[in-house]
Amino acid sequence: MVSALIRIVSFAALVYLALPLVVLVGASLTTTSFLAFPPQGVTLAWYGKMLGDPSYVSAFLVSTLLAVAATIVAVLLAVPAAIAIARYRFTGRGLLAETLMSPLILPHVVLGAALLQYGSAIGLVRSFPALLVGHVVIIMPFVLRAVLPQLTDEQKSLEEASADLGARPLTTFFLVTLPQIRSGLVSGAIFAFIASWINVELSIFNTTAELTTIPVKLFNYVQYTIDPTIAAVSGLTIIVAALVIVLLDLAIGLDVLSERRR
Amino acid sequence: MSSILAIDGLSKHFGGQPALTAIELAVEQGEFIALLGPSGCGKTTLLRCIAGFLAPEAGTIRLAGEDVTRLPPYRRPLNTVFQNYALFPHMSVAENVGYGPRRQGVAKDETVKRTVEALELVGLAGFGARLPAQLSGGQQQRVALARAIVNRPKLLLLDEPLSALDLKLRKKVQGELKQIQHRLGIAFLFVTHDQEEALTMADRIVLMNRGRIEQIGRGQDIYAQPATRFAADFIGDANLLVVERRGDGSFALLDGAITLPVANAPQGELTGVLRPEDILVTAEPVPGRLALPAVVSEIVHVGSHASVALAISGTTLAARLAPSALAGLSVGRPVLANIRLADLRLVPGDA
Repeated sequence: MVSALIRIVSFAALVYLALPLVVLVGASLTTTSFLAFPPQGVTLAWYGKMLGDPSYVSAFLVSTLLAVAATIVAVLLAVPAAIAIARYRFTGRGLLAETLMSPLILPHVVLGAALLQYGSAIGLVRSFPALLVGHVVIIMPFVLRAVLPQLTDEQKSLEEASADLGARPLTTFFLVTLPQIRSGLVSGAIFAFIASWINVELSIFNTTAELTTIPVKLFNYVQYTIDPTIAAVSGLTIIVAALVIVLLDLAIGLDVLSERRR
Repeated sequence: MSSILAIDGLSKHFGGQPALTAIELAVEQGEFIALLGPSGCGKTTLLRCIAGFLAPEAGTIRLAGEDVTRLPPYRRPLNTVFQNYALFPHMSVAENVGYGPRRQGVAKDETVKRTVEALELVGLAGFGARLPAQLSGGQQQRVALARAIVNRPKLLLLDEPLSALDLKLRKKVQGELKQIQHRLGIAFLFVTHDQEEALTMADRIVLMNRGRIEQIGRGQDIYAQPATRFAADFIGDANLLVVERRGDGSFALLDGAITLPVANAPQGELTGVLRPEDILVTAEPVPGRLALPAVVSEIVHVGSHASVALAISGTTLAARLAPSALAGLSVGRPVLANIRLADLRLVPGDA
């Protein structure tokens, strides 16, 4: 009785979560010049229109490049930071951890305004590097949060065993530490990539007419027009996100996300 | 210089609290040494200093004559069997065992050969392809041992390696470990809090308490001649008696029931040590022994023997009796506790 109720509620929640995606992708296929669901007829014309528009293509490229670069930089910074925080006791350790995590609780609009102010002072504005710096700041916590819990005492004793067997610190990192934090690193990197891929609030401060990301372009577009183009752009955004996950699954196996460590 | 391990004046503090104080220890080639003591006595801290995971504030550690005090763990010619085994879970058994040789620059085929030999030695031939998670606790323990000895270290450190095994398996592994040690001739430094384990396995016991070494010696020697009250209490069972120093230089125990005319006794507080098996319980006095009137207050049967609690002058002493000696004994019965003054030792320390 109760379990049946739970099933119904769970199912309703899933439908509520999934339905917008269905509506969006459905509406992107409509032949009408306005958003319509269920779609009137089926056409890929809106996708064609979007891909025929160089500004959309360029925005997609910028978004992709930005998300990939930001994720790589965030991983390269977050992993050493996580090791420092988990393994060493030093002055300001707590402060460092909280500072690096703070973008999770700060509104990105506030952060964006602050970064713009700071960026203006040092001449780092409205350029790809300016976007990159901002994205690294907001996505680093995802990697840090996923990696930190994996640097356990048990993990530390593995590193000690490695040193005991004659491995230098860097060898230990690549042969023992990295394989052990892999699942956290991959899941953190996926969240980081997606957080960058969908970000509007922060990017908007540093984008220009020529240099813009897909979510910002969408955001600007819907302020003036609502037509199936935005559904097509959104549809493509979702497809890219899904593609990232599928590719990762093929490359390293998504079981690392749910894998319960011993 | 011939010692495999020579520790001199080693001290270590944790946040102002002394963890090790003035440790002096020499281990010879092929010796099996047990580092014994209660938890928190500093035995694991000492082991971690030797392995290089902790840096001492003072003192030196020499391995085969070489000062390694400031060397990182990966440059010390010793290996460790960790308490939780610390097997690499993402590597097969063979990869775990071959890890050390590979890091030392041993060629691949030679590593494979040594790995096979080491696994054979610990009785795990043919297990190379398994993952550690697919092994039982006892098997994991053997892999940890194989992974350490495959490097042919000068000294092997073992940090309570048997504590996770059940009693029966532990007994079995104790014997095997001793055999392997004997065959390889490597010095073993074995941390344990289990006095029985230390007594069965070790050539010598290093007894530690509160960051200091209380006594070093063969198990039977420490038992027969404990240097301190702690040593008497920790190794085996002991009756610890309050000692009163008299004006004439003699000592009174059991409220004056025993008087010892000791000439050159140590200074400070003393404790009388009397082992339970050194008390004979009889109805009639035994010739050559001092007979103390006592009352039986409890009899506990422990299989091979019985432990009898005796009330003597307001103090309770434990005596160990063979079952045959129990005839006619019952709780509340007045008896005689016969002791030899030679069995009564005075050691430093407050009872």
